[in-house]
Amino acid sequence: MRLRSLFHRARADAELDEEFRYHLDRETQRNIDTGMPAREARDAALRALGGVAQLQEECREARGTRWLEILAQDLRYGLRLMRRSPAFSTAAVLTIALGIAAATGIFSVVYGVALQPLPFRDPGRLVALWTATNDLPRAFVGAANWHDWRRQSGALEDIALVRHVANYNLTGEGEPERLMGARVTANLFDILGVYPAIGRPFTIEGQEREAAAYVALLSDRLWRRRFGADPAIVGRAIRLNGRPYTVLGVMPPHFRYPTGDFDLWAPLYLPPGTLTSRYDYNHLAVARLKPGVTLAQAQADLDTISARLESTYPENRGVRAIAGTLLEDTVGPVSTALYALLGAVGCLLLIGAVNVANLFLARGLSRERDRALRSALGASRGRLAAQVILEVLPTVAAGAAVGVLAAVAGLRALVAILPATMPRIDEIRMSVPVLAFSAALLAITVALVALWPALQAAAIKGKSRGRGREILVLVEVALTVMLVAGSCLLARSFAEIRGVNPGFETAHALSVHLALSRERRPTDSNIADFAARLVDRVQAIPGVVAAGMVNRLPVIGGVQTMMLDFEGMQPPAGRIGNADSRSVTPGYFRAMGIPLVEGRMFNDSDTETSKPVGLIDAATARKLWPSQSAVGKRFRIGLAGQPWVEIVGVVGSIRNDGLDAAVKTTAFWPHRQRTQDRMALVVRTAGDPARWMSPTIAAIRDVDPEQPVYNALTMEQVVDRSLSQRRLNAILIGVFAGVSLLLAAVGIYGVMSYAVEQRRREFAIRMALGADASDVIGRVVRRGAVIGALGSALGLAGVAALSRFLTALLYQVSATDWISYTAAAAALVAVALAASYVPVRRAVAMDPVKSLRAD
Amino acid sequence: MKPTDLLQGTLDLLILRVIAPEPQHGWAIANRIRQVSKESLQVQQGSLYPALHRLENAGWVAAEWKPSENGRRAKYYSLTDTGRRKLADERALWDKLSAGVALVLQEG
Repeated sequence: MRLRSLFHRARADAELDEEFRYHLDRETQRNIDTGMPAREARDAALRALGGVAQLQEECREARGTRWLEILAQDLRYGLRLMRRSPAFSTAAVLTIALGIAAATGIFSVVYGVALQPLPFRDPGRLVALWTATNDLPRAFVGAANWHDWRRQSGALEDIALVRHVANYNLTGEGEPERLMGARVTANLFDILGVYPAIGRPFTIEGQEREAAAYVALLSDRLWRRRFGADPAIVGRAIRLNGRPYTVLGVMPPHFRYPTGDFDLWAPLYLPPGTLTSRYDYNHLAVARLKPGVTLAQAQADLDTISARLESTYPENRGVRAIAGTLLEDTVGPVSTALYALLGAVGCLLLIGAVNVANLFLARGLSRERDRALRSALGASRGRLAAQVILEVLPTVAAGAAVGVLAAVAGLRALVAILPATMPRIDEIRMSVPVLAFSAALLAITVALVALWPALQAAAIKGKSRGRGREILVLVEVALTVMLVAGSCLLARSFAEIRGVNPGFETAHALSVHLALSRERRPTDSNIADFAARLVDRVQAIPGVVAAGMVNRLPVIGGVQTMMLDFEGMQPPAGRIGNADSRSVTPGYFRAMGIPLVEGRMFNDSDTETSKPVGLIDAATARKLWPSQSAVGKRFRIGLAGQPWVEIVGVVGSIRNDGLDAAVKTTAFWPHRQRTQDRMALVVRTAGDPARWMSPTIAAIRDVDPEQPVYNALTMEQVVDRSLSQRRLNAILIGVFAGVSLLLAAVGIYGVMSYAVEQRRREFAIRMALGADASDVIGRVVRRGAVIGALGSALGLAGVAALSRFLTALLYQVSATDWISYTAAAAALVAVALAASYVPVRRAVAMDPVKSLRAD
Repeated sequence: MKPTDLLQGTLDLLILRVIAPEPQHGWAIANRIRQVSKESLQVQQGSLYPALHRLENAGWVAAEWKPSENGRRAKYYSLTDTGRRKLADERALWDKLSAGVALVLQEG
């Protein structure tokens, strides 16, 4: 009824008119009937009715739509105000746009990576399983344990096993290419609830046959890029690792498992009878919870099973199954950094909103009288507050619109600067939840910006307006200090980590990865020969100082760890549970710039038939044999039947897992004695290594034209990439801190200008009475310094309160690092001083008499 | 209670009572009040219309444009079921109030 009345206002008004006209006519007629002359009859009727215009207004009000009309009026007024002061409006709109654009952009990353459900059926019920052992809190899953967990579990519907270290060299049509493939048990598709878009998945009934028959599923991306999205691919054979594989189907476009790097899936068939060692931990496991079962219940169930296995098998001593949600598993490592970024951008938005609120407060003068009048006439607080909100709404909404547009347009650019290691990076897009978040931001910003003016309007006290602004600025300064201090902490962390010695020479080296397929080189000897040939050929390139191969590059990790036993020592001292094992060709250490500390490096006399030899890293050697030489001592892999290896030399320790990770024990084997198929070729060059990339690849092609290479990078790039997440954090938060410093300066300037303006007469009188200009300036600047110092103290308290959360992001820098804190406070106080100095300087430059007369 | 409140409540009661037997338009209601009270209740005619619109808004009265006695169309107001209940309630309240006032006056 009300709404209809509003929209059909014209019709409602016309009806009212008609109603009154009817009444007047009837009353007039009645008067005429009682004998009054026509003119008098009309006048008497009008008098009896009362003021028609006022009555019409009252009737309209009685309909209850009046308030809507008043609010519409306020909105229009807000729009008019916006147009009338373009400078103010632009500043306000841009400030809001900046905050909202940054917040929306960061949130779309946070949502896409960390919050969005995984693209599987009912993804909240998927869990990832890991093994916890005595030596490693988190290790891969062993097939033997998998069988037992599967058989005994009451909480899990099913568990799939994935062998994810699988390289496939695609040859035969076009450029040879190395693909990442995963071998998966046939039940994976049922568990994830995703099936091929064309063709069919692996079947449980046929798994034995399929595993023996060389079949594969392709990713949608590979199918489009390499096979022209041809549906006839199903049933065709492609050449992988030299063998023909039949393509069974193509997965849907958004299927990414285990990560976005995988393009092939092949069957994995592990019947229980064929399993040998219970120590082999080298699979991923994913499971689905039974309906109604929680993660905690599943963990408890697994704990029971683990205990049972422990008592059955000695190898399972200290071994536990651990379960976590698949989302947490995928995203966990980066979520802290992401949430920190979100918090920082939230601060930025708050600071921007406070600035705009201050701007509106400064302009509040003209409306104060109007509001006072309305208040006196009985307008409720709610109505006054609504009026303020509507005045502010056009500006903030415009800012939000610009901000969201900027975020949408800039999203791709933002995604481009994200580190390549960020999980789910291709799932980041503008989506409904992100836009809903922006809408929520808009509402919050409107509330924030309107809050203080609205409170002011309700209170209608002139003096406290100045105080209100000062409190707002104090909040602004506190938030800015938090950002600046955070930025300093991250910058110092980054500097620290960049200064870490990785244990090798980063400059003048490049690396190229190769997966050597066994199809034409079935034996270890064949592979080792081929590797040696490659190295020799590359070594022959002019300008190459040294070349060598290793199975895993330092710094980027790529775990290949095992348990080592050292001769003559009993565990625990003589056993290292998670040593990195490396297979290297002789020239590797020279190529990598790893120094030889003692003894000798591998050479060509270390062959498949000669004595098993090994190298150990210096830190481990010192720890195990503090007063003796490690050369001549022996170690072996901690599995049954492994031969003792004699240490012939000690090399410098290297950081395998990243610059910020601890140095682990590294043991080296000659490639000929412990052959690996997946290697990285490292080349040390005389000059800029980028110039030797093509010659190196060409040399490899020379030896075997069908050998694909991948991840061709200079070692500097490799190290850089390992730091990309930290770098991004430091840069982004640095940018936010810089912008917020600017905004804080503007805010303080505004407040100080206002204060100076209020006290202009006072200052003029003081100066006319002989006070020094510097005295006056001193007063104001001191006030500014107090605001800066107080706000800084508040902000630093805030950072200190967050220190537990921040520590995860820092490296070798305490979350209460006094250098960063002091720098941040100093920056703010300096800004406050400068922002206070400028307005008062201008004020005292004026002739006091003129200033007084100006009143 | 502000004087306007008392008057408003009373006016509502009068209107509801007048249109209870049959729907009437605004002028007829004013006339009826004038007649029945034997000219003693000089209700400001103007205040009738905001009251009628308010009652319509509240749902106690329904309005309809119909042809009237003189041939022109007029807006007729009738009592709704809720309005009828409201009338009974207000009537009871009024009776109680006036009885109470009478008692107190008797005392003095």
